[in-house]
Amino acid sequence: MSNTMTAADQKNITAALLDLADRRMRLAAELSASEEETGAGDVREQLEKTAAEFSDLLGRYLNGLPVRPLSRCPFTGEVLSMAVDDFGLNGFFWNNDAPKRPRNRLPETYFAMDGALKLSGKPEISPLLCCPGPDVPYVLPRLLRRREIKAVISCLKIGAHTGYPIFYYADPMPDGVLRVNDWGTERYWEPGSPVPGSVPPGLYVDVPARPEEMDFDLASWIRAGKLLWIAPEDAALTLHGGISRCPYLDLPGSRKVKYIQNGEVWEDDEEKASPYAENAEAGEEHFEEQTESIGKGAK
Amino acid sequence: MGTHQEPSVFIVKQADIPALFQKELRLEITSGSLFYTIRQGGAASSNLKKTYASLLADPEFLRAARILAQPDLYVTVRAAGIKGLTELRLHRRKDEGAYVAAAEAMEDGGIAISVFDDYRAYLDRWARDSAGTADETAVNYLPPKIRFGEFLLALHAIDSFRLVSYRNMLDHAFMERTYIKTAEFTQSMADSIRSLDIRWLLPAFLAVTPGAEECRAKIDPKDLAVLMEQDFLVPSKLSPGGEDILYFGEAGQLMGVEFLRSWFSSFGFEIQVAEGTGFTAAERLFIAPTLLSIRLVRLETAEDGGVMVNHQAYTTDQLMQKLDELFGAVFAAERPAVPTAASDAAAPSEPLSPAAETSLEKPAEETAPAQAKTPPAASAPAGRFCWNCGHKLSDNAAFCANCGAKVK
Repeated sequence: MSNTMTAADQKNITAALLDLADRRMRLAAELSASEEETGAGDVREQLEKTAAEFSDLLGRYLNGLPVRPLSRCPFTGEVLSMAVDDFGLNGFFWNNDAPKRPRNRLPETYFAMDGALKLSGKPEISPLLCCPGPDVPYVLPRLLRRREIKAVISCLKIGAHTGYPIFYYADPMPDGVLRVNDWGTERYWEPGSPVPGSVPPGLYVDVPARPEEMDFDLASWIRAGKLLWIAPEDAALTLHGGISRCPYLDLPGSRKVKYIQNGEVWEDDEEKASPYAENAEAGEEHFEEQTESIGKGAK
Repeated sequence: MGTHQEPSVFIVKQADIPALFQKELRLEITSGSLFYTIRQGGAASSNLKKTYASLLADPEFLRAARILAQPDLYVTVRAAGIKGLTELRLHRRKDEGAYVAAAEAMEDGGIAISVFDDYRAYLDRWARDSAGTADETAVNYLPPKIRFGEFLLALHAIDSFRLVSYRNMLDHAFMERTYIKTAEFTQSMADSIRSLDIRWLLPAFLAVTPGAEECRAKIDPKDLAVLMEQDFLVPSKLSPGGEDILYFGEAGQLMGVEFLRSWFSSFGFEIQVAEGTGFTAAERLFIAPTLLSIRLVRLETAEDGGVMVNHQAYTTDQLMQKLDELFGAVFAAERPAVPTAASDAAAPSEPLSPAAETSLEKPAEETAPAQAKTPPAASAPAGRFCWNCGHKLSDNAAFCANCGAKVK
């Protein structure tokens, strides 16, 4: 029997999770502030109970997420399916700071998942910060310039909105290449080592897509054979390599990363865009900085 | 893949092989050997010991003979080009190490025998002589996977573009938008397949890809849809007259031009591995180099028993990397063991595929509930706790080890 949630289930579970998360956060803060270990017992007990409730409910949320076939590997033809909260942008799946996403069985050639999203009407109201990318899909040349990497763009409805997941695949899988944060999050799980030899494999890494490295000129990457596409609503997920019928070219919309919280939408402005904005031409230095910080964080 | 020494080449008359191997060297010729079908022998030279004295004293030839007589793996390599259709067979015998011995029949009735250090040495020489140089990536208009019948139709579409272009050149005609009449397209396909004319892509594919002839199933009319879907052909009507025609779309034109102007040869590889009393095909490949890219086609068996095609457009480096991977996997594999009751019992009930190990997300809360429910130890010193889940954070942590939230 399918455990997939309905839209109403998702709404109710999300509301309950928010309540528990709020309580848990307050208790954690209280515990962090507590200097006296002996007086913290009650708080710990409450935190434990709340964490357990949250964990149980979260399990229902994660198990109830619909698994959608989203993409196809351009090297093997294998379909990539993934559990995704496509009821709207209000769920914990889209919580930018601490996303809740179940484990997925992914093709061995899976490399990274980026994305964009075009809002249709007002976004759902949620206190969780959501960062689904710009309106218009883009690619990351630093990844596509590598011979072993190709990307596939597709499309799915997320509530009333239109999402554009962009999956990167690699064959063979490169080692020591910084990927990109999972779509809508501030991290990605690096199964290998981002710095072979000095950082052990298997850790979270934060490598945001910088605005200046986003390339919205998809046509040139399709012509180069590096970007393939899947037509909207194509249940067969047929890959296309040609440009003449590509529906993702020159889409209208903003090319700035947007944020959504409590029903408000705002975009990355020039000042807040990126800590590296002042050094936009730095290129590889950015990744050296990232590599250095990853090394420190892994200690 | 590397630098390798040129292999030694030995020439032996084909008619002498059975007696030389079986009588002089006392090597039984088993199935898998190129010489298996001629093992009964014919009229050999009168004094083999004297004729082949230097070979019979050469350890490298003796090794080649042992490999050639009793291989446990062999690769059929066919080539179609300016020399017509040629074929050689690579042999491997595991207890002789990584060496591979190639045998190729020559026009004068001789057999050329070469010994390579390993399969890589052979592939390197093949690449140097045959693969050409493609440095840039190219569009793949036939992304994986498509059915065998669909692939044949796509090859026929490319050939049809070439045909129309040649015809226009001969007639000094110019078409604003190149097309072929629908009736001609469909009717000419059977003729093309029957012709085995390796100057055309479709028959060349069937001629050089070992095993492809076995797959030559009937073509389903619905397979035609792939040509429209991938923009090889666009159905239309001729004006005036209303005759059904097929315009060449983006894929048909660009692949058509690529193969019209810069395709000269094609190659087929089939790797057969000993299994039980016979051999089983482990890989079937077709390679068509052009100036733009090198097309690698891999035939794969689908769950329903049909044949699927994985077509890629590679640079030379990518091709060699992929060939090394495919050959390496087969050459390195042990012979599959016959399952026994004991080994079945020991096997896990649901073995996970390698893909199952791959995860987009670290399995945090949902797969580690015990961790999530564990409160900070009572004796733990006061420290930092995750704002998201309350888990105690280690010093310098950038992310919570329990829920993965970024530390603020």
